[in-house]
Amino acid sequence: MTGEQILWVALGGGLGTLLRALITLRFQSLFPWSTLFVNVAGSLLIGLLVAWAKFGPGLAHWQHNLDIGGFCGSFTTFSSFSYQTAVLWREGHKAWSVGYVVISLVLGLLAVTLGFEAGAWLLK
Amino acid sequence: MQTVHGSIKSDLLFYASIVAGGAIGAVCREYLSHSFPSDFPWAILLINVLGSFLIVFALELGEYLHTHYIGFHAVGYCGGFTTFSTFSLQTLEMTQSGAYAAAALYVVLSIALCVLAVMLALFLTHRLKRPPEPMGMQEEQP
Repeated sequence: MTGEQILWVALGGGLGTLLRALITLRFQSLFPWSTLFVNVAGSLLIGLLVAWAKFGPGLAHWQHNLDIGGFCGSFTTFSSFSYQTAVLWREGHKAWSVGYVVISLVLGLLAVTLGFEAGAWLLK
Repeated sequence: MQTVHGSIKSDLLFYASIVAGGAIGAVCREYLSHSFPSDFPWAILLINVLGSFLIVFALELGEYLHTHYIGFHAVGYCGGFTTFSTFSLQTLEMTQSGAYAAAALYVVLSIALCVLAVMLALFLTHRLKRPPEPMGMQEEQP
């Protein structure tokens, strides 16, 4: 990675992390709705961005680093997701734990598909 | 204005720690994921498993750590290092290219290995917090 790429990824990553922190620390509950929300919203956004890069005006390398590698990558998280799944299970909320995994996967994959297809339909 | 840690200065430092951790995590992720280009997204899988393992140490050993360090390590570094959006995108791209078995394997491996990594880290942190009693030693009675 070049110094310029590192700079854009760090900028996007810092912003994405800050926005995720503001959302997840503001809305805390037994069932991790806020993490589910950021993961689904970030998946929708990355789908749109990839469609924009493919069918729209395109993304310059620095924009790719800033938006996709930096912002979307850091706005969403897998580590909190796995930790919350294990903790829900450990605390005895086994159905919620399994439900959290299934809902995250279904909505995350639906969101990225929807983002990509909607972007493709609008821009093609 | 309501603050999280008692003062605005402390809150600013808390969020600055989180942003710094997230920026470093994102750069590490991008560096690793571009270093090992392959058809199957092994790099992101490894990143998500590693980050899931590491986050537990900050969250479970929180009573020994400064709040700002927990923010840096858990919310910032591990949160920014691991990613759900790239995971979803890669799964979509694999299904678009007809690699349904690889996509299913990626999803199953990601969930199974990340949850296993958390469980291993939970086990280790609990051992750290409560060292086993030495064999044959009884507590002294007053």
